[in-house]
Amino acid sequence: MHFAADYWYVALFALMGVIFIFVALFLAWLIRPHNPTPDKLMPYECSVRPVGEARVQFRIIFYLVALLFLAFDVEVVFLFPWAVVLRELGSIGLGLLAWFDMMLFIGILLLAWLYAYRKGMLDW
Amino acid sequence: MDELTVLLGYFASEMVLAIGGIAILVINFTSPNVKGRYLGYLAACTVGVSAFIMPWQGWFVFEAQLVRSTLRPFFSFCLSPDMYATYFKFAIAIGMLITILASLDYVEARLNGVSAELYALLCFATLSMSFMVSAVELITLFLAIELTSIASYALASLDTSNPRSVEAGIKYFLTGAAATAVSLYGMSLIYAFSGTTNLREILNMQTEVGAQFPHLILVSLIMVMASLGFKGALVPFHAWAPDTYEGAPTPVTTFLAAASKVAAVGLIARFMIYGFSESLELWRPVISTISALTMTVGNLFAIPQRNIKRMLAYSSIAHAGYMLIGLAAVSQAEIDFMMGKGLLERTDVAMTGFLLYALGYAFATGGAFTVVLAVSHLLGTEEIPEYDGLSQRMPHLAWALTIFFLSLIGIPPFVGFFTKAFVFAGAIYSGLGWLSIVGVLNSVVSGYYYLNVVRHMFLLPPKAQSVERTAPSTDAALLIALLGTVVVGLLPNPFLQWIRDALNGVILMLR
Repeated sequence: MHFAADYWYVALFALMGVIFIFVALFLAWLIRPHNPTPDKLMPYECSVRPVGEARVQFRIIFYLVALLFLAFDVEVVFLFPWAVVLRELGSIGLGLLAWFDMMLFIGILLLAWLYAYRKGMLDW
Repeated sequence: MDELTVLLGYFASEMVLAIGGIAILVINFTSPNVKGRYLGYLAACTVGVSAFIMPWQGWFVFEAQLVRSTLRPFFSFCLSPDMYATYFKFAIAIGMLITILASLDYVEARLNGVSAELYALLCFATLSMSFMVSAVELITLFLAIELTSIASYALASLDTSNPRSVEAGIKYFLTGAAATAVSLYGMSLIYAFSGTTNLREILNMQTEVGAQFPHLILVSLIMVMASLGFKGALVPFHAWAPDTYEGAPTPVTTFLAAASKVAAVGLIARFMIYGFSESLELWRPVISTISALTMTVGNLFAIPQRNIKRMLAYSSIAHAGYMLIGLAAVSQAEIDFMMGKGLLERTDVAMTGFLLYALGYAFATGGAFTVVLAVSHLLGTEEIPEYDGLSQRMPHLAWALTIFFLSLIGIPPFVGFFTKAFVFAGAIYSGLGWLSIVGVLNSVVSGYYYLNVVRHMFLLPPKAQSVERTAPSTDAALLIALLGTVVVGLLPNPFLQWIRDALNGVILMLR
């Protein structure tokens, strides 16, 4: 059965991958010099010395702006295919309906934006 | 009838809910001085109107099936216009109506700053739960679950001044995210073997795929069950429920118990029967195991609870287990009936019991939480020992809670008796006698912790003498819940007829 045979290759590949990790680590352990310093033992963080706590406070407004951005980002994702097929829909007589649908969608999003605005989410 | 009329007619209640929810938010940001209480009335009207419309939507169901051409793909690919959906939508909307009416006072006293968001989110959650029970396509189904979940996460952590509420929301969110990931994997497996996301086409693929890879179907079903079981708080996906139920603001707890759970079990049954009835013998053991575990764990953990919200949380876990007996015991004749073939025999009562259970549970649990909300608002406590002597201080609350608890235990003449009788009988007829024994034993165990509260209310002396009056809105919620609990119990025939219509040919729709 081809289906099962294919999966045996995957299993074999996964097994070889796991074995390779341990072999490589073992060989490195055999030949490497052992000379730790405090600097070396520090957690690696993109070549920057770790400063301060991991739990930093940042303004919650970044989160809100990101959320609003996401809403409009998704709106564009929906608008684009709609704009592409609108002419086609118009030719079969659904143009008005499609236009109305999208206006409704934009209207609801606009209300969401107004809500965010009136609640002071955009006050920096 | 032309297509637009059918579309507007069938989705009238959903449109009412969407417009109501948006209106609440718009009123809130255009005129912030409007009292939260009025927004609550608006939300109650919205949900009430949509609940009133829902039974009549059945009339548009048949029209919707007649309409061909443009609407057909929309209906048959995403949302199914069937009586099963309208029945569950009705149960959900009734649960939400009780929730909103019962929480007006509580919200005004404790959550006044966020009342618009609370009511709007409750309307949107009702809307998305309506989609949950009518979705017949994996992506629609997933979106509906996510929409409900996101509304629930926000609702659970709405009381930002209370760290327990925030904790409830975070726990709910994290477990929910994990469950979602697992279920998406399961759905991708289903897509892998069937090449479609439409439940009907998945059903048609079943015999073929089932013969070749039965384990593949089983694994994907169990994975999807992780997400559905999470929403319904089924054991072993229930760990979030007690903490979230206790920490969340009580109106939100009511919503989670009375409405969200009904939507979840409605969706599970739809998914299993609509999409996987050909693999019935494959998933029957899974569902019966989950059912037995859910009942037992829910009831055993409810016994030692002193906080009534936490006790009701475990009790609602247990009730999801009882409901699943009905699904686990579904007979081949019932599936044929849902396919539009044959008739129901006297012994084919499992699915009937399942549907009736969902409605009876929404009434009784909604009612019990109404009393909890009223006591929490008037006496400021949610501990069971503080219910001492409630029968002398507020006799109508004490009597109402007793009736709801008797219905939840399954004592005639209340609706809980008939629903339990149906699912247990269905289990026996389907050869799942052990499951009905587990169910009966669990009902006996549940009697202990329910009647313990009754004992506190009636037999122990009150700790204070003050007599408080409940608000008219609370009384209205109590009245709706009591009417449902008693009338559906005494006169179940119209409801049984409705359920029969809901089941008849539900899989056949729009072939």
